[in-house]
Amino acid sequence: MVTKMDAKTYDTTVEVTWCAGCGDYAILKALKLALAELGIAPHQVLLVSGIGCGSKLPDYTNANGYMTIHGRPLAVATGAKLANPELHVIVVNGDGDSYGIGCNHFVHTCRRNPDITQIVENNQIYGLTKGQYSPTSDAGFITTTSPDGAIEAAFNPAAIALAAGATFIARAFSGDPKHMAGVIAQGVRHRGYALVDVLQPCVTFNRVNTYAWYRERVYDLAEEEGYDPSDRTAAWHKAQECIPVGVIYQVEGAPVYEDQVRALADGSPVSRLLELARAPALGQYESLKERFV
Amino acid sequence: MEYREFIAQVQKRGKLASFEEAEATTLSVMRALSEVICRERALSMRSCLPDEIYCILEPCRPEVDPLIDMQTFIGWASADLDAVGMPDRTLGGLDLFAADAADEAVRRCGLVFCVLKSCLGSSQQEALACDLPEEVCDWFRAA
Repeated sequence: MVTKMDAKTYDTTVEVTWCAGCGDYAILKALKLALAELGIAPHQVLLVSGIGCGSKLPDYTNANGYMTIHGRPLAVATGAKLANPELHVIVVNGDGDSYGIGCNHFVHTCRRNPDITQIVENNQIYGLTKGQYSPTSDAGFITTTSPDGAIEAAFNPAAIALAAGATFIARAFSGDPKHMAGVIAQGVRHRGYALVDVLQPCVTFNRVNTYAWYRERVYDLAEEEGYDPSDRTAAWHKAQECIPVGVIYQVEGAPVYEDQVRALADGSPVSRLLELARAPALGQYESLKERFV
Repeated sequence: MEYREFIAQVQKRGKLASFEEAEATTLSVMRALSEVICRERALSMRSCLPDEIYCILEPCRPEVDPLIDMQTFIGWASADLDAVGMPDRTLGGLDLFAADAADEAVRRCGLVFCVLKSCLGSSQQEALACDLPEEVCDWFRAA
């Protein structure tokens, strides 16, 4: 019997501890809807997160989850994808975890192009540690660690990802969860690394970039006549603008990292283990063992 | 009802310190409403509301977004809540605001809903309630 999936398939009974009004709630809902609409079952998904408010998301989702150390989810996710390419591996982390502590992994994942999706909960602040400015905070943003205003210009994730060779770059706004679900679904469907940078208000510590602030500025690229997301130059210009949402850049058919790893040519470690477990005779067991040693 | 009277009633019901605070509260809650109601519903309320209030509802979506829930609604509604002066319920942190924001936002939603309901007929109230996310609908009915 085939059970029809809906977003509730991914619900858990774990109490959500985000602040009321946090943009992460909409991201959680949108992700569940996207997975259900793609027909992906919970056992086929691995959610990998780092440290931060948003990185608690795997705990609130009925799927495989792995909370790594700060800034490292992309490295762990790449390893998981190599071990089992059948899994839909999705990284969910914040702007600090991704673009600050984990920036090195971010840049190199863009150029490696493993078939994983990264959803960045970008609230332009470190929320879990109670309000320090983050890489995506705008210059002049006043926080406990920038009392005179942030000195640096904000990190531009879309532009950096494009320069580093990402094959799918999108942006969404958590005030538009239905649109966001569609963008996430496109990212998961994309074969290769997909960045979905979600503009997500922190209602407690970021009193500047509110829902209303974003609403006044976001516009949907899909409604812009003539915009072609496969045009790299056009994407570069869009990456500088304030603030297009939707798919900014996508190139199909780029080589995927795990497809080029020679050690996986005879199957992934997980598929080999499964083969081993199913081996009916000792002879097969020995021959499989030889392949691993 | 005139715009100033609408705001004054919100201020009176909520014992808010100033007209400006009541105005900011009203605008935030109406902004949140504009995110969850459909265009048809907004149009149906046009003749009942002061122009300054209706114009906030005007940019609403053609259809209701079913994924916008109570949490996102509170996010919109609490946008102009002032953190200054809120008690710190945390242990040594700088979290002046989070603990109280939700309760206060819900209370303020109730204030605005109450005045809004007084502008609408019963069938309009019911139609509006049906558009709202589940918990928000409960606040609306209770207001």
